[in-house]
Amino acid sequence: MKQFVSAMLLGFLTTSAYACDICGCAANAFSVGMLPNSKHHFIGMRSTLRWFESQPAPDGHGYRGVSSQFFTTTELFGRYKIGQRFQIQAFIPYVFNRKTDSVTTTIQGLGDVVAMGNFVFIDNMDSLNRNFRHSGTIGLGVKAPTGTFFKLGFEEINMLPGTGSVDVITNLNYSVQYKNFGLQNETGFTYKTSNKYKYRFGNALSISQVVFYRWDVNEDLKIIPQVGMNYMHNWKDTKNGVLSEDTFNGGDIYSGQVNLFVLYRNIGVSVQVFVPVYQRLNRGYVNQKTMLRAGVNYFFNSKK
Amino acid sequence: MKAVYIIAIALTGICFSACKKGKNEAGSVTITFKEPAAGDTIPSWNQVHMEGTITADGEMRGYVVSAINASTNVVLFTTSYDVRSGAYNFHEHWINNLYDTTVVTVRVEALKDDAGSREVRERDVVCLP
Repeated sequence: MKQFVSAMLLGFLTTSAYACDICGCAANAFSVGMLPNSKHHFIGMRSTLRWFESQPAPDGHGYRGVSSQFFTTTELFGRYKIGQRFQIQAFIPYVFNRKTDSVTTTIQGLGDVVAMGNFVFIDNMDSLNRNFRHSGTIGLGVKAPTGTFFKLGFEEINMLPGTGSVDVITNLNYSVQYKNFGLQNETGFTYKTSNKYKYRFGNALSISQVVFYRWDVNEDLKIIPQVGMNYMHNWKDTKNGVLSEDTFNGGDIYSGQVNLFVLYRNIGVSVQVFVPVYQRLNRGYVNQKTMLRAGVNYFFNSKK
Repeated sequence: MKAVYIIAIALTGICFSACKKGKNEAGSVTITFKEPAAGDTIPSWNQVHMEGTITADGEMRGYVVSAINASTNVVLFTTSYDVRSGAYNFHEHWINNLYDTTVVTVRVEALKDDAGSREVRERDVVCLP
């Protein structure tokens, strides 16, 4: 059990990143956070809540005052390991979005399913005799248009669960650990395509850099606090091939992030908090107040 | 002989499907404006919002949204979508940059079939200088 937990914990320090199409949010790219790069398969569930406040459009079109938006995505996700070097991952999201101004609008449904393949280019985290240990993966994936992306008479397409497009997702994750301290970087980029209605959400970039400390409480219980920064950039959307000015997408946001990961035997629990430090989303009309993420994973022993 | 039968059946199928080609085309189309309202007055350098829905009983071939000077028929703005669907939301903007008081016709055209049949609906607004 100790070896199992140690291997899993050390591997925990490499993450995956991909851009989420929660769309509607000003910055619709974010890192998944820490995922185990251990020798084990896993299945898990996590929820991400993003809270925005949006000013009305400057032309007064459809004016209903300042709005609050709560966008929640709950995902069932898992990873299956193939040999020593390859992993496949799948994410099945359920989206619940709510916008409140003078009225409350709620949209919910299945989101866009993501499938990814990762190549482990380095992983010596279980080499306990080394001073510096490394772990890294590079991933390529695709997002399928399984979520609803059209609703008659509903113009706020950024609230809908899906984008209607097939998108290509890439990610690079690397971490290095010295004794119980470490650095971790996650970079994800999503290339987006046009949907059936000639609407193309902007490409998205997300970069996270954190430092962490691994606290081995006992043989079964490990705790990893992290602190760091996250940067997200969203390119502008296009509509029928030209830049769309109707959108609430596009811009930059820098966030401070604090993460806590707890691993007890085969169960991992994670909580992440992102607090914006500087942002300029949709020319300043949208402000992300905060982002929270919490999840739980169950790890399976792998014979390979 | 067997091959001849297969080819004959295949050709029959192709002909049958070709004859049915028009079946998915739109016959009845409904265009509904959310904006602008008829007779709206648009101040200078303000946007004309052209927003609404298009629905049909079959698959349309796309739609065109235009803003046209009603006096001169000069097209001030136009955009077309080559999208096959049974329903659309349209939402376009044009900035009133005219120097005279002008009646502008907002025209929405739904393309019903490959032959070019169209359903048209218009709204007039008054653009101020």
